[in-house]
Amino acid sequence: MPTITKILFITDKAPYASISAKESLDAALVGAAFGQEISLLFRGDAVYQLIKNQSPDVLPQKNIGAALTALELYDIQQVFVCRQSMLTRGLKANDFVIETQPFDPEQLADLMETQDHILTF
Amino acid sequence: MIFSLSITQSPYSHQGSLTAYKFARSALAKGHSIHRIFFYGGGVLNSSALTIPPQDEFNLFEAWKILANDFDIELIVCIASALRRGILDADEAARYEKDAANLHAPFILSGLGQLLDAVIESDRLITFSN
Repeated sequence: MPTITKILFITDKAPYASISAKESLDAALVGAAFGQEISLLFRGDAVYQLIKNQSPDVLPQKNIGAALTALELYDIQQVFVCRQSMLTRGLKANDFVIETQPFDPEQLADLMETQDHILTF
Repeated sequence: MIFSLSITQSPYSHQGSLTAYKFARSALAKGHSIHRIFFYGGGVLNSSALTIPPQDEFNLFEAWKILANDFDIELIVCIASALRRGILDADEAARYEKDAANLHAPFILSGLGQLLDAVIESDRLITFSN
């Protein structure tokens, strides 16, 4: 049986201003489809990717928030959000489309230590 | 150590592609190997054969080709990112009935799975996202 690689995807970009949010999610989903253990970490403006009731159809772009609800289907359960980034933007966990685990910036090094690979977007 | 690189921003607009190239050269000079370079997002523009930088500027497109041929490095271009940006090989040009193709060997169009495969097969994957 092949070994499972633990891969953490870190995104810090707002949705819609660039394609980065979509690219990180696409790559994470492919990783999960490959049977690897995938975690996601949102920090900085990336926390805006998670908020409910996004209406990007006027831009027109596809809804990142809706796409994030696919994480569960791909069995990606480890979704971390920087508590500081939420706080400075006035966001709470129940503002988000999916269940997330808040973490403090000082815990980041420990989290990274547990991973085999880290991909940043 | 076996490295793979991921490049996510377009050359000439961003420094990341050049930095990735310099990193690859330095790693090889130190005796490491580069398994694969994956071009994602705007990074796919590195692969356009129609790239013509001014003569007094570094020609990154030619440099990638020489690097890949000299060291047997795979240059994989994300197909979804490429088609969006008008980067086509002969097969895709024929499939979509376009007049021209601008992606040729040693660059290869393939899927995002090749990025994840590079992660699994390499000791380190380095992302150049600026």
